[in-house]
Amino acid sequence: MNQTFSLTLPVPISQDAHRFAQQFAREQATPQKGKQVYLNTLAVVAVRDYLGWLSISTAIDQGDCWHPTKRAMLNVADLVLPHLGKLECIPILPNQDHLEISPEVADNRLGYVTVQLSEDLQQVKLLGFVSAQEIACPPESIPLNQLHSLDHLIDTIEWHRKWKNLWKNLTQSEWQPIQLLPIPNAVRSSNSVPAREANFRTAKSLEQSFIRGKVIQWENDPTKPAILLTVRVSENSTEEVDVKMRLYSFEDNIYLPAGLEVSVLDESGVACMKTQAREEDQWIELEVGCKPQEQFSLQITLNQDKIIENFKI
Amino acid sequence: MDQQIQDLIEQLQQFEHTSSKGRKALTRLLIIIQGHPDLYRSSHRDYSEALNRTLEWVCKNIQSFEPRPPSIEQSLIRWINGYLKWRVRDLFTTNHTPSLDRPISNKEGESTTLMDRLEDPNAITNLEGWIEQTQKERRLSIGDTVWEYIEKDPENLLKNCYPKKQPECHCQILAIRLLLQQPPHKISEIAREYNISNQTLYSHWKRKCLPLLQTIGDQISKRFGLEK
Repeated sequence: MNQTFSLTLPVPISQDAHRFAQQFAREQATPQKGKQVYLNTLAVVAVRDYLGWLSISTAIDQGDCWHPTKRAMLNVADLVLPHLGKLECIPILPNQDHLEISPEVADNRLGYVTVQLSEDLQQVKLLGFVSAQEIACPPESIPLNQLHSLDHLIDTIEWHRKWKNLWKNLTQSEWQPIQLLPIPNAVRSSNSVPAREANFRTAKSLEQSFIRGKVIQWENDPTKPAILLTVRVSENSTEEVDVKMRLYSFEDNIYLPAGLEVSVLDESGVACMKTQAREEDQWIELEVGCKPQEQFSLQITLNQDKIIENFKI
Repeated sequence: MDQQIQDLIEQLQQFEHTSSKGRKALTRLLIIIQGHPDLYRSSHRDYSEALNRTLEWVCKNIQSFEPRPPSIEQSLIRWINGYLKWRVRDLFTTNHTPSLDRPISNKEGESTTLMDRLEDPNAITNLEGWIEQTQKERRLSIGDTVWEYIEKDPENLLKNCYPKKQPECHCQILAIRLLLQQPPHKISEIAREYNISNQTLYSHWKRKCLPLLQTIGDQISKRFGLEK
C-alpha cells in the first residue's frame, strides 16, 4: 500500500497563497497562532491548485479557514469541494514524521491530505492521503509511512461523486461514528459479531466503506426500549453499493423486543423485504444493493408504533 | 523515462481528463516534469509563481502537445520550458505583489521589506518573528477578540457547559487547552486528568462545545460586520 514516497507531488507555492497567508496571519492573537494560520493557508491553496490542475472544482472561500472568526478559533485548513464535502489539508513541517488531526476537524471531512512544507516556503509536497473512515475517533496521530498515495485521494473523490447523497445523509449530526454510540449487547457478549472493531481504523485497507449509527427512541411510547441502528455502506461494484442495516439491543435491554419488525420499502412505499426479532435475538439485519439516485425507506415497527428512516443513494 | 512519459501521454489521450485514470496519469506526469533535470530553473525569488502557472498551463494543454524528434521526453521538456521562460520573464517586468515590498522595520530599527524576510532561507523559522511584527502594527483584530472572549468567558457561557457530573471539565478549559495552547493538549491527556473516557470527552467537545463556540464566533463576526 505504501506508494506514498514514489507518488509525492511537489506544488510550487504561488504569490497568491503567500498574500492570503500574510493577511490571515496578521489578524491572529499570537505569533504562534499566526504561524499556524499562515501554514494552513499555504496548504489549502496548494491542494486547491493541484485539484484545479486535475479539473476538480473547489470553493476555497467557502471553507472555515477562509472565515475570519473560525480560523481565529479553530486549527482548520479545510477545502470545500462543492456538492461533495470538504478535504482537510494538513500542513506538516519538513522534519515531522507523523500527521496530527486536531479534534475540531475530525468530523465532516472526506479525508485528509498531508502537505509537507519546504523550509523556504517556496514549494510544498503532497505526501499522501487518509480517508475519513480510516481515522480513529477521537483521532490519533498517524505515522507518515501509513499514508496512502494521491491515487487514493483521486479514488475517494470519485467515490463521493458517485455516492454523494448517501454520504450527505449519513453524516448529518444525528448519525454518529459508532465509537460514540452505546456498545450493543451482542458485541459486548460475543466476539462473533465483527460489527464494531472491524470497520474502524482500517488504514491498511483501501476498501471504500463507512459505517454510522444512531439511537432510535420511540417517541410515542418512551417505555418501549430504545434500539441502536447501524448502517454500513460498502461498494460492491463500480455501479452499486451494499447498504447493511442492523438493529441492536443495548444497555439494560439484553434482547431486542420479540416481534420487532424491520422492513425495506421501495420508492412507492411497498415492502420488498422484511425480518423480525424472535425471542432472545440481540440483533437483526437487512441488506440491500442500490444504484445511484435510488431511494428506499427503512420501516421499524413494534406493535402499533412505527419509525421510518429515508435513504437516498 | 522516455517510455514512461510516452505511456502517460498515451493514457492522457485515451482516457477522459476527468476520469480517475486520466487524473492519476496527469499526477504522475506532473511529478516527472518537476523532477526533470532539464526543466528550466531560475534564481528569481518568485520562480515558484512562474512554475505554478506553467503547470496549470501544461494540464490544460497537454492534449495538444505534439512530440517531435529526437524523443518525447526532450520535446516535452522543451515545450514546457518554452512557456516557463516567458512566465519567468513576466516576473522581471511586472510587480505582482506590492504589499510584499512594503517597508517594515525590524527590531534593530533597520528598514527591510516583507519580501526580504520571506526570502530568507529559514523562512519557516522566521515566520513567527515576522508575524509578531505585523501583528503589532494593527489594531485590535478579530483574532484578539476571539481569544479574549475565550480567556475571559464574560457571560459564563463556556464555564456553564460541561459533561454530566464533571463541572470542572467545562468548555472554557477545553477551548483553552485544545485551541489556544500551542501545542494543544490531547483529548486523551485531558480525559485522563478528569477521569472520564476519551469518547465521553470527545463527544462533549464535538456536540456541545464546538457548536457553542460557533455561536459565540457568529456574534463576534456580527460585531466586526462580517455577516455569514
